[in-house]
Amino acid sequence: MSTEDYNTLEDLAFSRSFRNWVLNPEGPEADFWTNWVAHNPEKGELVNQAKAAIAALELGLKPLPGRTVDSEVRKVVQKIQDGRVNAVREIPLRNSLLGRRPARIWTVAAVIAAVAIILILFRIFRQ
Amino acid sequence: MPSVNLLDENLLLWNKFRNGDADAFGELMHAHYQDLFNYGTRFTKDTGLVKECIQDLFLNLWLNRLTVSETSFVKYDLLRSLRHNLTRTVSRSRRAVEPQFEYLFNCPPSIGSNLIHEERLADLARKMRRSLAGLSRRQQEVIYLRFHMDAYAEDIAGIMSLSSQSVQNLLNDALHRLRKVRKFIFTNVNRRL
Repeated sequence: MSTEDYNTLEDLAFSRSFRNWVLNPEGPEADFWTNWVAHNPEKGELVNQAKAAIAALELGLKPLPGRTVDSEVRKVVQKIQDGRVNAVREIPLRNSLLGRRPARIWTVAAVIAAVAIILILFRIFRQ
Repeated sequence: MPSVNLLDENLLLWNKFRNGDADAFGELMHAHYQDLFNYGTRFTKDTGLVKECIQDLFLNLWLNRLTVSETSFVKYDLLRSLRHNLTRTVSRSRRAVEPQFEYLFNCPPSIGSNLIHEERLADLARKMRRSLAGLSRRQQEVIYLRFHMDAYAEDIAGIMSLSSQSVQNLLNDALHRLRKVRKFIFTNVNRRL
């Protein structure tokens, strides 16, 4: 992209190169951008605005540890190499779903049953 | 934008994978894992669920390797599939509640570090973030994909099953709001001067 092409907020805020420089002012893009800013003084406000937008849009997420990614990848590759892929259901999350919802339903059922029993016993004893 | 080399590399891996190379497939998964995970966790806080969905996505991809197309947009195809699986699965587990995208600004804007020195910019960033938090979820998702995934309107349209035109409109409106924040601030500054 040539210098003239950075004219709007989105041109700068969505440019990987500009963003790399904003987030890492000493990085490899520093020469280009310090030079660009110096040669385009009329775009000073635009640059500030884009910097603020980048700060606003960043989530500050920590990247996953490399070993987590490695182990997730290994699980899949291992399954493939062991020929266990065919066993995969289309939505393999049913297990966890079955594990959760019915648990709640059973809790509710147990509470209702307990209350019913207490009421029945109460009546019997009163009689 | 990812560099051309990176695109070529991913395309090479993609084609190796289509020919049944499990190691290339692993590399492909590795290359996209972080992006998929970050995107997935915008829909649910259940990181285990997101990991399972990603595993599932890749295992199904492997099963369908003979029928998947030669694509130059591997990343966006993966994001679209993940979104589809995740929203379907999460909505099944919590019945009435449709899973929705949440930008989730957990941290304050990263200012005050050496990123932005001036207080005025810090203030501007905070106000911009407040304005972003007020966007519709769909709009937040569009701008997330544009900013964090380097996706253009057509790519985003593919991922979210929207028309390019509506993506463009959502994007323009979001950007318009960001620009308005700035105008408001500068008017105030001028008034003070």
